[in-house]
Amino acid sequence: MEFRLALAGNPNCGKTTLFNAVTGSAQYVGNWPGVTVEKKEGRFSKGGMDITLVDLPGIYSLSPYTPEEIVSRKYLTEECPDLIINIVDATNLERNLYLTTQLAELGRPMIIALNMIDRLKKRGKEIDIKRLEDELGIPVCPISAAKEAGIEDLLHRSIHILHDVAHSENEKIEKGFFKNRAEELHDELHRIHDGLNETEDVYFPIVKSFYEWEINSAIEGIEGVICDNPKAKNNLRFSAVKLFEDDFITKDTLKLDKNSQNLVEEILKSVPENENIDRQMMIADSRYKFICRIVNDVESQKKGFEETISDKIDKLLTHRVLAIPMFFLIIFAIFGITFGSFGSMLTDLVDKLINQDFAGFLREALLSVNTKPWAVSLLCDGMLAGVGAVVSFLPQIALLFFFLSILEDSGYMSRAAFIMDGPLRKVGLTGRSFMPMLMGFGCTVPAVLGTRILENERDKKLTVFLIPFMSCSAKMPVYALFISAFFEENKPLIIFTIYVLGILLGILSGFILKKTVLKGEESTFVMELPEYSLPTLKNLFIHVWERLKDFLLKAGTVLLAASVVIWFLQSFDTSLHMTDNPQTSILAAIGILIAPVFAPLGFGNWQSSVALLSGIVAKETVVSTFGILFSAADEATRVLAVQGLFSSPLAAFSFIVFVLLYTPCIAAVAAIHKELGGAKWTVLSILWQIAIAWLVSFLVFNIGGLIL
Amino acid sequence: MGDIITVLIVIAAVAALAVGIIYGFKHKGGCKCGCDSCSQKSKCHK
Repeated sequence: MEFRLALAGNPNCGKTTLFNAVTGSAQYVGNWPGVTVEKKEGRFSKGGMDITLVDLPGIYSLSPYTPEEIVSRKYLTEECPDLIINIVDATNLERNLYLTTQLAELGRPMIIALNMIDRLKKRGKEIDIKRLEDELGIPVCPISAAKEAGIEDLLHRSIHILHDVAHSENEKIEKGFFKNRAEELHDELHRIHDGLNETEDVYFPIVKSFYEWEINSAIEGIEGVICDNPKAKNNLRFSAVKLFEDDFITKDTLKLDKNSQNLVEEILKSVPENENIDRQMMIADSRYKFICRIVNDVESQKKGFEETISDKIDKLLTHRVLAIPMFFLIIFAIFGITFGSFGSMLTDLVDKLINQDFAGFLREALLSVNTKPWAVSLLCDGMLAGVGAVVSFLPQIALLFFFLSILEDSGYMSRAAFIMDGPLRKVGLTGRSFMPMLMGFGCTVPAVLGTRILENERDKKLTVFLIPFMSCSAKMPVYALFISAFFEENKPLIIFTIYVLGILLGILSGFILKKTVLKGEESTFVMELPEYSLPTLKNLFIHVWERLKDFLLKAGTVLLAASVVIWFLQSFDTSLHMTDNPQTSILAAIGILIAPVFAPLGFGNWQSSVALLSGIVAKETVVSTFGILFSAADEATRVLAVQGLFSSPLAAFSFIVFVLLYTPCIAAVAAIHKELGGAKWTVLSILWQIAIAWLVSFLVFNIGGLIL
Repeated sequence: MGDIITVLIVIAAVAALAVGIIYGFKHKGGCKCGCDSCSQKSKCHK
């Protein structure tokens, strides 16, 4: 038998951690709200059942205000999972139970996974599980998803419920009186009217305790009106409550006829009005009263109130004055380790192994068996030099992502968004946009796709414009090569400057766009700061491995192909004859054509021009191109060659700035096109990037020349 | 021997070119189907 289980809960309550623990998947888990934007599916077998587990985006309610809420609500109401596992954060019981009350009204079988129970105990609090179960009438399983504790019991009880569901439905089919829930309710409502209300409820009985008598009667009345509506059959109570709230999506879905609309209006008129609050507020108010009563009954404080460790850390890291300097200090420290002597030592080691020892051995071996010299050149100076030039930076990329993952898993990234809310507000954005921007430090493609968490269309466009300014990991090999060649003494400082420059220019660029093409209302930003937690090694490994896997995959496919093309363009002249002189090659012809554009920026040589051109395929290709152009497999040779190309460190810095700011790679442009939804905006975004890159590099080179 | 290796290198280069182009097109900004499972690192649900 096959069943579908849905994981539903508030943002950052541990859904994806539980999903990974149950399915054995390696989905991205972050200690910040909004990690899951789309639903994800995983499969596993348990108790003879094939189960599909669906990880839904985190939501605070089933009101359709954000894209996450729309995705989750659509799935829960339309796909009707066989069982809902509602993950409730035990440390935030009151807020989490709000969603529980809505899920209970969907009328689907449900179990509560009370997560982070270990943290609750640390805070000196306790929850009476048995009493919570009795009060809600819903099974409750205490778990700690991060420590994988209590998960077996949760699955065991879930399987038990699924068995019951399968058994009762089979029984109904066998006895020939299978009815769907709406039909059962229809019958039940008739029995209520006839005074024969003796049958058991088909949904959780507790849902009738949420509201005052008048509201409850009105909702039941609406249920009676819509129970024949096919769109309301699977979630009658939920639809009735939503109609009570005047929910536009439900109205649109049900498409009630005039008569039914009038009946609903009549029922709603019977509800005593409160001039201070609308009906939606009445429902929320009733729910919270119900939740407060339950929380008071089940939660107890064993120790007196103590400031948590998170509170203490936050006093420093989110301090009004110190927060931003602390943020930059942390980032600077990460760059110090990644690009300092430790990171460089690892890179040198890999470089020696691949680009010196292996490449040297391969060249000698191939020539000794009389392989054609041009074929050896294609393999060693083209493919190997191109890919090897980039792969040697693998340890530094791994280190950078290791530290960024620690920041993310520990909960600091949420603080970073909170801290950056102030500066971002100045450009008309909120801290919510900082999350996709931070993802942009990894790769622009998922970061741009991640902007769909932003409800406001203007915010989304503005954030998509800003993301390419964040220095993605593909640009790192370029920086690493150039700082080795020109800034050996100040490696971390230069890298730090580049990253900060990207952020500042992104914000400045947002400010200009806000005042010109993207005018509009500012949106509000409410964000939950998760508790600090120690990152697990498993999660860190998943994060770093995902990034390295992408990097290696790109090196073995796109970069390898680009290396072959660049080798060909560099080894043949315009008459398609092989040439030993790079100056007469096709590549040189292309480079010479576009080099004058870059001359005012300090790097008017054709080699830099073609390297930048090839960087549009993938940013790492800039380094590959230098590797192939100078037949330089090892880093030392590449460094010497690059030193010979640029007249001064200032010209080299101007080049780095241009690489940081110019058009992102093809994949990123495609993602931008997809999210901005139009060629006009995509072209505008590309032109904007190129213009900013040229202008800033020009200013860096020329103003820098006056000062230095 | 040298000729065989030469041919193999050429085949490898052509294959690398083809794989690179196919991979590049397949991963230009997420899935072609638009379900976004690529960026979410999950199974395509379409």
